Amino acid sequence: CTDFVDLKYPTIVGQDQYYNTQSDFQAAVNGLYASLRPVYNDFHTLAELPSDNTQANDYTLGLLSLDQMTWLDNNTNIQNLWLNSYRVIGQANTILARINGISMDENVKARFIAEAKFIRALMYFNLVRFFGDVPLVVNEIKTEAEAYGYLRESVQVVYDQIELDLTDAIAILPSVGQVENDGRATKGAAQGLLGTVYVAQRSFEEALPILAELIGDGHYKLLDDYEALFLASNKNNEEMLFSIQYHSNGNAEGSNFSILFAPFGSGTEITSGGNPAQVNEGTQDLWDAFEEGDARKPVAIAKYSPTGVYYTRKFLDKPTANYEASNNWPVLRYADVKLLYAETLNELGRGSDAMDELNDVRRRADLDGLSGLGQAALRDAIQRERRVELCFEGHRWFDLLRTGNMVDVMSAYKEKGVGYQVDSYEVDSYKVLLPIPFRERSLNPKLTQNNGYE
Amino acid sequence: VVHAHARSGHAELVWQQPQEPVTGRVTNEAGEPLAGVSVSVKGTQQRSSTNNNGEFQIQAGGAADVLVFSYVGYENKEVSVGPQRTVLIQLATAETAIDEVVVVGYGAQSKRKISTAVSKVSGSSINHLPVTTPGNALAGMAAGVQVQSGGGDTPGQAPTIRIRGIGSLGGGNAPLYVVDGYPLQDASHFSRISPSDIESIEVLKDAASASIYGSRAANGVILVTTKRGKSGKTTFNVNAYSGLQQVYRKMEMMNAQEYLQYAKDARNASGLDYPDVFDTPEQLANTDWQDVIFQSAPMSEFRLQALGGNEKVQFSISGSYLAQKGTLKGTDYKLASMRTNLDAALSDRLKIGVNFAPSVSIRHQQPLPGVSGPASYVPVYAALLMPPVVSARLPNGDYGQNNVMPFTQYGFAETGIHNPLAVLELNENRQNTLNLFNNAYLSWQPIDGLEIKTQGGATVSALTNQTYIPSTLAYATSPFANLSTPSLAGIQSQTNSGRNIDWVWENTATYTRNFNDVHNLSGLLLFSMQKTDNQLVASTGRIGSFSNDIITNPTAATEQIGSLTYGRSSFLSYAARVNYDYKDKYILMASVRTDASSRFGPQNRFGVFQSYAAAWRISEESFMESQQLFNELKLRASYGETGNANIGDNTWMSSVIARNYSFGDARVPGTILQGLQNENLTWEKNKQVNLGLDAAFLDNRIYLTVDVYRKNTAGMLFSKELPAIVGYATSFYTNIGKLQNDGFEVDLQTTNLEGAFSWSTNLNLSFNRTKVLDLGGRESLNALAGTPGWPNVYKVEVGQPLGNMYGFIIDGVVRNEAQLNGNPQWPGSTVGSYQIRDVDGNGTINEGDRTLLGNGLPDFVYGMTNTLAYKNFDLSIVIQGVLGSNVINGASRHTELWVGRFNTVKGMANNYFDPANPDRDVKYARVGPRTGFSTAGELHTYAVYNGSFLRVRNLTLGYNLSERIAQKLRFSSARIYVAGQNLLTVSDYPGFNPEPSMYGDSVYQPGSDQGTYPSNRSYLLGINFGF
Repeated sequence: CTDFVDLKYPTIVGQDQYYNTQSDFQAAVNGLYASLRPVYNDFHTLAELPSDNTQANDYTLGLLSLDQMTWLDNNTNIQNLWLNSYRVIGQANTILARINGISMDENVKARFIAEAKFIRALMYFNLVRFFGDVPLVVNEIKTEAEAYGYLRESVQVVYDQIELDLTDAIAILPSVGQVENDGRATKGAAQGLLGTVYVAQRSFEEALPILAELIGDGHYKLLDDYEALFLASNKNNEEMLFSIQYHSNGNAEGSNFSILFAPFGSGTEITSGGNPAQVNEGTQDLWDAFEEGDARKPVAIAKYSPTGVYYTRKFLDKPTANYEASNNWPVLRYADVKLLYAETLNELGRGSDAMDELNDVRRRADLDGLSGLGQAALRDAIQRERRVELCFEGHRWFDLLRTGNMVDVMSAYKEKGVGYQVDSYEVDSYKVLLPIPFRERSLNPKLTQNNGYE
Repeated sequence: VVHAHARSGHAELVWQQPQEPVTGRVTNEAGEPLAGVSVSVKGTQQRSSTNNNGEFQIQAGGAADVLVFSYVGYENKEVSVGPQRTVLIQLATAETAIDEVVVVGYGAQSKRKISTAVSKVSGSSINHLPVTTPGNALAGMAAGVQVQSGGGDTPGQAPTIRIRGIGSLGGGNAPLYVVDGYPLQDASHFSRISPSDIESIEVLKDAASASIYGSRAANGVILVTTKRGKSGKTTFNVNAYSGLQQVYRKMEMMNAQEYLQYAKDARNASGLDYPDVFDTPEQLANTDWQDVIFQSAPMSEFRLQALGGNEKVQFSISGSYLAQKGTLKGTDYKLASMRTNLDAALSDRLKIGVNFAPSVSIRHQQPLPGVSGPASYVPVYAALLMPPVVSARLPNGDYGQNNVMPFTQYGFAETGIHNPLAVLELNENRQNTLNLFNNAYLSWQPIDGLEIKTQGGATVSALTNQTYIPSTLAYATSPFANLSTPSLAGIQSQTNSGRNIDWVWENTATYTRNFNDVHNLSGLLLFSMQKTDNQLVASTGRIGSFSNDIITNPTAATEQIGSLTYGRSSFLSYAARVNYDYKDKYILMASVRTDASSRFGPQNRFGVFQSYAAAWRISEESFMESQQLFNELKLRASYGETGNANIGDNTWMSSVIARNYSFGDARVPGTILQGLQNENLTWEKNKQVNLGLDAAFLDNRIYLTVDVYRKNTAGMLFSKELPAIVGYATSFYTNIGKLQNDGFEVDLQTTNLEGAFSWSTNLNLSFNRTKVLDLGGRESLNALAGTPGWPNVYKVEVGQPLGNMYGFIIDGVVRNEAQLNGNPQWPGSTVGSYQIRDVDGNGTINEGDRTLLGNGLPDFVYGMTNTLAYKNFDLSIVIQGVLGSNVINGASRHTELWVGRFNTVKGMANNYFDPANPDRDVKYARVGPRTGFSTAGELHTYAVYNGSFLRVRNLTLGYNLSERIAQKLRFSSARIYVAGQNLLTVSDYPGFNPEPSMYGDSVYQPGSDQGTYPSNRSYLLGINFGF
């Protein structure tokens, strides 16, 4: 009679029935990529908004505190970043924990493993930069009790894992050339990321060979047309090492940057309507940071004349609904790599080589090459270049943190007094790290908090 | 009960009156034999009782001797023997509370013998009420039962009903509804019963009474018995009423002039110029948006009922048609329903019966919190926020909007606020529902006292929901659409079709026997199976792919998206119960039920639920014989266990779900793992102790019931949060934690006056406090939002009651630099900001200063019904209310803000900080640019109100035509009545409904309001006649 209460559910795939075949893992790896979307949908709120590049508006609640650096540990965006990043890590861990012992094409298996490690490394790299010490989970957590066994690991331990994962991934992943660049992780993407990881730790000696090899391989180049870089019709072009793929197909699998970034009241002028939300508005300071004649400027930042609001034209699309735009989110592109390489060279005392790399980027923007700069001046020039080249793409805040300039730059920005309610900015050195989210600490009080937030 | 013959103990009297015994038969009004009726000869010791066929014989004297018939639940009857020495007696149902028969799970009992906590609401007290669902009729009617219309008077919306507080944090808190013995898996079948068809509603409140329903009884059980036919002349009853409903209360908002002054001040404070037109308000519209969206709405109902039958077959057939327009334009509800109850005696020992109740309804809804659609276009909310200077309609027929010139230039454009009238007139959301309720039984009495009954039933519901946003409606996707500027890109259309089939098969055997005339024993055995299967098919037109505006369903789209969902559950149950009493004086009851359900983890599917109860009728003791005060005095004690299975169908499972990706523009199928599997997931168990007292005084004119209970829930079905590092799950269902409900209930029925002027009162009062005892090791759960935008408001904490609301205390406004610098401030504060209290005194304002501002659950719930009659007039007044709750006015996030973009409450006009006059006594911070604490970002003291209210829920005044006139008109009875619903509500809350709940029946977020449907006041005129 107990059969009567043992029902089958026609629309549910139980986990015990899955993760058995190559096609199961193919779909799981695809799903792993898909779980990156929620992370990058709001990445700008933490990677751009606190910086001097962009500012929040009056109305979208929670964002003003990110702009003004008055965030609290209960901030929704901070919580979501944590949650969504570990969600990706959890999927990667599930794949890595279950794929061994499954009979399938060994090359395919190796690539799946490498892709999962690349993505896991990317998430930990974000986490460690935003939060400092974080729990390091590399196994599938199977029980509730296990979840409480992980406390924050030191930044160094986390970086060691990231480097290990990326080194493994580089050894396996195919290069562009061997495979089409369609948004999957490639060797170049992993190399670029590892280089970025080293630069972030100021380990320039280690960054140098990685970046040199990547550039030397010649799989990537700077597109002549800066605007073409970002077009939804020109995804995964030769400058893109890795970007989050968005696709308009009526299932909310697209991006929403065009609507989110368009100024209030712009209606259908800039995007297709929706509710232009002006959540990542360019600052006057960023507008002013472009040199005269910079070909990138009209693409990077524009002024909506009725309200004088600055917005970016990097993510222009006319979606039919929210989350139906086709723009990808660039995570790593060649100009970024070139500038990191320039920075590495400069820090290692090879200023003239560094200037060559920097000037490649400048010349694409129709700007004159720089010459004769000393190390310190070149250091500033590279950061200035990074700011305008990569604005709105989620780099500025990390650059300020990495270079140790956050407090100086943001204090100076506040001093200028130009920008939305800059008087209310609270620039403190402890804000180089975000607070560990309230939710996580209330669940597990053994998680420590970063300085300044208690 | 079998007593076929006069007992030998009376033999000594026989020889004194050597006559043939008197014989006869006793039946009820329906002509059914009554077994166990006590028969005595007045003034003698002669006693007898009836057998199963209602027959008796008794030794009696001459023709003048008077026989007295008495039977629990029936009026006593006295009859002279007469010369023929054979009598046929029909007993009428008793009126007095103490003699009532109370329906209990799988049986019925005399109220005298009830040892548990059961409230009875007789049909007569609700039959006449003009309510659209029977749940509404229960408000204020029974102690321990709270009926809350959190969604106001939304047409066709059933209220939230809770019995004895909140027993579960993760499972549902709705009671189990049992209609004519059918335990409903789909409560909507209850909501469709016409109040006129109800014979009685019994509420099983304590676990001992409910335990016989085992795993689904944790939240109490509501037993509905519908009217059945009676043998005799067929009677017809017609009841028709019609009337008008209005919104009970509007919110006080600024008019155009006040609004422009405010907008001007906001601009000035920001250092901005303002358009000249702000100085000449008469050039702009002055729209009262609440008047625009609300209407006086008609409501009427027609009910017809026929009851009758003969000794073999009885029937009850009724039909009703209800039509209700909503006070919010664009909403309405129509319900046509029928009910047929047939009973037939195939032989003396074999009976069959059928219930068949089909109904169809059509309901039009509009976006409300909880109804799908972007929150920003909830019309009730938009009507508060829309600036009054915008016209509802323009000269060219278009709808006025604030996101076009000149309002954009004035700074009144606000994303997400669109003309609410356009929504109400153009948006379509229609729901058609067909419900079938079928139930049949066969009952067999193989020997006297034993009844074997098998009952099979099925409920079917089929639902179609069609939603459509036309090209002309402005909303998020097409903010500039209007009648003259349609946009095909904005069209949305979805059709959902669902069906829900449930069947039940229940088999009972009941044996009743009396031993030695002092021991009454009855036993019950039950075997039951029930299975539910539902399916939902949805078709959506892809936005942007609509080719035309002519047809409104998804086929107008070139691309359609389909989806399919299933739900299934099953229950397998065994139960047994024993009732025993000694001389009606010492009463004992014990029951046990075993349930298995598919809803729980395969390791833990079976649950056992037991209960015990005892009662002592002190009034039956010999030492009470001499007292005159009490007609009845009974003490009751019970303990029972019940379970809760109100969770989703497969919450224990971890599953793989689709998460597709695209490489380049090539879409690929993807999956992710979701949910932490819990194979041990099992019942939430409730243990409840109940102590009760029943007392009748002063010739049964006062009947008092008092109950005290403690209900402990353990192993709660609970969605427990997980650290985010788990990755594939942020919570999982498990059995943890403890919750306690303590309460007491008083129910007082009094007959104040009898005679030409009669007056009776039914008063009930319930106190309940829900306390969290354990959360599985945590001290608190993660706080939830008060409304979207107010985070961390509702906290569930160990040792605290549920429903606590936390926020910040506003101590007025920062008036000067000295105050600004001399006190801890919210980050970014300036002069003119709100002064937030440093509750923890640590010198900074932060999350630690969040403090308890209120509680969304009431302490007391009460109701009072007064029934008066004088000559041909009758009057009934139902008063109902709650005490000790709080309400969050979520609308104030925008209507009491600093920017001149939304319309604002009248109370804010000229009541905000003025830098030129900083010492003026004002409530609100400066307008213009935001600095410091934002009332839109955190809950604060201004937004929390006392939620206590007292409501005159129903007042009905009837006039009965005298029998003479009625019969002249060929009616057996005729009555005309006027009724007022919600004529008065006494409440501090300025919103539309004093008991709002934008989160539906959520126990985590009770008492929050943001755009919920208003409550109505209505005036009705009705007639009621029988023939």
